[in-house]
Amino acid sequence: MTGRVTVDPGSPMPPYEQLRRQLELQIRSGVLAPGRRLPTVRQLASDLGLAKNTVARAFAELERGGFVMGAGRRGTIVVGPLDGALDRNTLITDAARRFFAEIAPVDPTFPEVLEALKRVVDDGQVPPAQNTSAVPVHG
Amino acid sequence: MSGATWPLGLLWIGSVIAVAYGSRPVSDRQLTRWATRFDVVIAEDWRSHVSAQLRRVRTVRWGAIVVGTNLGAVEIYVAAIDLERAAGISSPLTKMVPFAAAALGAIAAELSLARPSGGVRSASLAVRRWTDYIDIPWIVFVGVCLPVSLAASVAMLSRPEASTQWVWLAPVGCVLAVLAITAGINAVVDRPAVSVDVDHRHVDDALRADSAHHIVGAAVALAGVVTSGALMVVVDGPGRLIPAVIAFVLLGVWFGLARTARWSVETARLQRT
Repeated sequence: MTGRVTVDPGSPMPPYEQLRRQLELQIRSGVLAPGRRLPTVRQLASDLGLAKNTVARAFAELERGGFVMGAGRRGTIVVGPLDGALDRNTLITDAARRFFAEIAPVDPTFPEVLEALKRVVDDGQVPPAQNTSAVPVHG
Repeated sequence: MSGATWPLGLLWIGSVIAVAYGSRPVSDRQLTRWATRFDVVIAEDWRSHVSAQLRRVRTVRWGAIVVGTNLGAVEIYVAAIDLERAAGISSPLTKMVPFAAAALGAIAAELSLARPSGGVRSASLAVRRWTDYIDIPWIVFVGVCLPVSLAASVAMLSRPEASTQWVWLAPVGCVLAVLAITAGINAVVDRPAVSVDVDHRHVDDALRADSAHHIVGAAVALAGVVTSGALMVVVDGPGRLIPAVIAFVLLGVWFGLARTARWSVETARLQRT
């Protein structure tokens, strides 16, 4: 699996934090396996339309957390979470739990929630899936 | 004062034909051939986008070659005004200009490709590298031309009968070629991807490989031709023919890299890993 990241400039969360969270989640879930090389700061900054410093900051935070390691000219390499990998399903379930907790005050019905999710995907706010129906989680 | 205008007329006719050829729309057949060459399948919803991109880069590349050829043909322009003054104007420098323009045009073409606009942006985590888009031996060849051209220039200086006016040209031409490759391939690798969809990404990679082949092809021709020119000055006798032949072969290499060489980015990536 190649993996991908999405940054929403309209989000209240700073771009570096959006990036850090998504990368951390993908490392924890095993989408990015230990030994896997990440794109260069320049490539990611260019693709995401971010400043290089923003991407470098996300990488630095991940390195401090023990998720990645700078390997000089070889770039940045995933070393895996220090506290062990988490099950992918657990991560998705946790994210769903947080999502439902956030919308609970509105008391939506389940079809309304599904409809909203579909609208977000159809509006292009979430890029279409590559091979499966998986969508990136923003943490 | 008397001028010869017919060469200028021919140059202009050739220029107009080249511009028209370069800017013509990309036919379905050409698009299919291009997709086969770069081992990609172009999704139906992306055919018009890819056609437009290919037409744009071809227009820029041919435009640069036409501008370079006209700049290099300064002798023809002067001859149209005053035939006598034109005699001494042609130089190794004017012969180098079209190749340098072609290399710059190939870079400009890459820079002209579509980029994503604002809003939510996504990025694939696939690593892009030079080796995904071009064979390294061609880059090494250009790098090797630099010391060879320097050695030829030093040899030129040690020959009292040889003119030293253009002794700097071959090394400078090689440095230009190296710079063109460095800047050009970095532009290829760093161009933001317009889509993370896997099929679109493969086609986007093919556009990058196409650009890389044009940039490196033009740089090979530039470095090869100036180095061969310098070697022809320092080699005596029938041996002078060898660099001349090499120069022609390198023009063929340029054509081959730019127009016919097959390349699969996916295969290159697999070989790397």
